[in-house]
Amino acid sequence: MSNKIRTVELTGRAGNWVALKSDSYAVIAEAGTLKEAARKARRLRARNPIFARVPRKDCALIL
Amino acid sequence: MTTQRFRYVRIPATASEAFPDAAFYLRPLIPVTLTAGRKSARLLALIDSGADNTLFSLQVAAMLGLNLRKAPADSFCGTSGHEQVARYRRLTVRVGTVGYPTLVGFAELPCDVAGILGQDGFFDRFTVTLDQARGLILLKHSRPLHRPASPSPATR
Repeated sequence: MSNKIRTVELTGRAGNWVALKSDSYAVIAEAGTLKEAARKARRLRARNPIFARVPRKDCALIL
Repeated sequence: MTTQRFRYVRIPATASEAFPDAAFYLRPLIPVTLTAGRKSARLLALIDSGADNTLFSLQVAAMLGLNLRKAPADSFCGTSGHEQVARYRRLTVRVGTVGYPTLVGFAELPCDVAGILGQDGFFDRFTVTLDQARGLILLKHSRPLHRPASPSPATR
């Protein structure tokens, strides 16, 4: 495990699904649906990407 | 039993009237893998001790090829009080080196997170330490309380 807290750069991606690199959490693909984000990541031959959803609003989460 | 370590994830935030210096949120988001048959999905899910169940987005169910039409349903409420329905399937959840079968609900989630790791399906499997000051999430695998770990003497 990396000792650094990783930042996921989500600015400008509101509401989208993103595929993240498994080590650095850098965004490698994004799309409006998970299926499309997965397709884009596959096309880029990303190895074992992690998918995350970007909240539509940049606000605090109280679930 | 080994302890797995994860890091908090920093999400950029916008300053507000109440939090003028806010630059980011620190969230306990960890990578988990859901497997259904031959299909699997690796997702960043939020650890949420206030959630009773473990829930993921409906889009994850579609990615896993799950037909939820006949899956058992249960309702849930968020802080808004709005009641929603989740449909549940038994899947394999893998968190780091630990994999286990559990019921996972699928619904249109509030706040657009990919998944929520709640009391049932996550906290019943791990002793969870959230050490935000050090940015650390520690997970120690434990057996669920509500299921016997081994057959009772009468059934051996």
